[in-house]
Amino acid sequence: MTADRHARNARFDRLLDEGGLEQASPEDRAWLAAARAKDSDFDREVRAVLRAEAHLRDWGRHHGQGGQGSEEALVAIFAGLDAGRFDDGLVVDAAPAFADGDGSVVGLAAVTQAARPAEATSEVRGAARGIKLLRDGRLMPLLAAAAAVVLVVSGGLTAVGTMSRESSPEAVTSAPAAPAPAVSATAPSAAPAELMAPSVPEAAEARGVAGGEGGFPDYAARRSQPAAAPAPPVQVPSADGVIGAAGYGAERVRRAQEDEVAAAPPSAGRTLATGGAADDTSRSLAMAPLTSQAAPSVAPQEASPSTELMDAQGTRSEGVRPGAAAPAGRVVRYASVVAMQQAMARCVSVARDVTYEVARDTGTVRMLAAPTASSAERRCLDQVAQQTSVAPPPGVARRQRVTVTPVSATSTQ
Amino acid sequence: MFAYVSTTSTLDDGAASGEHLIPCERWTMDHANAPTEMELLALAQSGDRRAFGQLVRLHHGRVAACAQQLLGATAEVDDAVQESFIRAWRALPRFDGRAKLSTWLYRICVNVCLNRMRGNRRHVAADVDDPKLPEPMADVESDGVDPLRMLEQAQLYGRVGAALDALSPSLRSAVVLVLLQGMSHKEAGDVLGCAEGTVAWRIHEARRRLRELLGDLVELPASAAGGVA
Repeated sequence: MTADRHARNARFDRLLDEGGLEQASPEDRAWLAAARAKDSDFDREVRAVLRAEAHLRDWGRHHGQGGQGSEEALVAIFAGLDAGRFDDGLVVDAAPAFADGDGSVVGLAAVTQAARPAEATSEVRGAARGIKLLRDGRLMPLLAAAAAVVLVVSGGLTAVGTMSRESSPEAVTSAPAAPAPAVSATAPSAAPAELMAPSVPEAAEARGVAGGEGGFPDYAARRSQPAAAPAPPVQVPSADGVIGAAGYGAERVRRAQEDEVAAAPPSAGRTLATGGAADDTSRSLAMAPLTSQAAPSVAPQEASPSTELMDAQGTRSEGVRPGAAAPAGRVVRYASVVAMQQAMARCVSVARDVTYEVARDTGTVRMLAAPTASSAERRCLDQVAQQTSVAPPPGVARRQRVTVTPVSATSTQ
Repeated sequence: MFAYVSTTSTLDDGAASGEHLIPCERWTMDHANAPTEMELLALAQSGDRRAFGQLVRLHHGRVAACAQQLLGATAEVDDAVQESFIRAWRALPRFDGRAKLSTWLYRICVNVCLNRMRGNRRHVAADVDDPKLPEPMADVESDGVDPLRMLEQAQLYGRVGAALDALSPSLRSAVVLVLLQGMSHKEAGDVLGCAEGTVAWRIHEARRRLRELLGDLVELPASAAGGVA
């Protein structure tokens, strides 16, 4: 019965994928009509799915025809190439890897072969083996034996560790506290790529670059890494400061950093010890300050290295379109709307609706409204807007409304 | 083999002052001798920007639509498309032709958009001036559009967009490629680097979740049951 239902659902799915009912063959239509007549629940299900599908396709049609035309886009692309945008050696043509729980399937009982992912088989086989052991009553002795082995090994390691500490000359001089993070307590002046996972303890656990949600397994840097780096890099920032991949170690650091940011009191003009941006990927760039409380605070406007940050001298000018320089006397710190929004997130204590306008040709940003913001918040938001010059600038003035969520609120999500 | 007919012009028609002009060459194809995509690709791989420009023209529409459907809000779509093609240009020497060029470009676009989604998921931006968002109260008399219907449509798009946002990146990517871009499971699998069966499962799961998320929008009352779907 269940197998029949699965087969029926799979056939209905296939029918929908192959152009929907409109393009279904007469045989498929007849089959569907019969199946719906036989089972009223299935009939309701089919109706709901068809309506959802129709709404989705309607949405897709409307969200697939906007944006720049190809000629306008071509100008932006060549301008970006000339400006050296995204010239960071990242590999983005590898298959994306998802770790969001929907990337692989564990058990799809009696689905047709076509709908059964290859990845499922080994895991299903493993689960079945476990069930068989349990059923045969052989699981408990095995577990007991494994626990005994773990106890013996860990006891032995503890004893060895104690003996070696006692006999080590460093034991006299070094602090006996918890293992210190390998990251230096001084704020590093090196480029972000050189600050990352290699010096973090968890880097040893990094299992490649496919650990993060939506991370890309081959999103690795081809540029040379520091010779002293003990482990391969797990994260690499793009020119926008967005990281393509996150390893396990980096993920743990990111979580720790989120906790730290969340612990900071939200206020309009506060300083952040992490220097972290609002998004998790960019925050993990600032690892050194994270692992050291002694790291210097960074004011909101002194954005993290992860944001598309350009100093007054334009030392990171890869985002600048030739001839699209910011107006004289204007210090440009943020070169994209995303970076600006991240900086704005640090201006507000609760979620605020902010409306701003990105000027055509120059990309400068002007705050238009932040109706619920306090005067201090508005001042901060205005300052961030003034320090933004979107590169390359849009061909038409772009007015946008965004709900800016404070860092503290988002970090605890 | 084939020939270009060139007319030198500027493509930056929006620039008012000379310093913003980016001299480009607009190439008009001599259709009788138009190069194939493979020929354009070979030229582009050898560093010919004009050939790459033609490839961009060929694929821009679909890549832009894919980016827009993945990112939802339009604020970042142009940036994502620009990044996709710039990265494609830089990666062209690596492209070995085993996959279709469109598949390869889609893959880059998906990766770029996923990367941006990860960075931006906490900032939901909507263009106030987005031409796709109907403004129910503006100029409705002049063009005879029913404001109520426009409002309903805007609300519907909002609901569908929110439901898509609620899907995980893997499900959303599959939905965009298969249901909205019309790819087969195999093509989507090539883009996403997974088996056809995995794509099939993701689509099935996405449909189920969308149905749940859209709830009242898709569930008909019991009294309405019995008609044609």
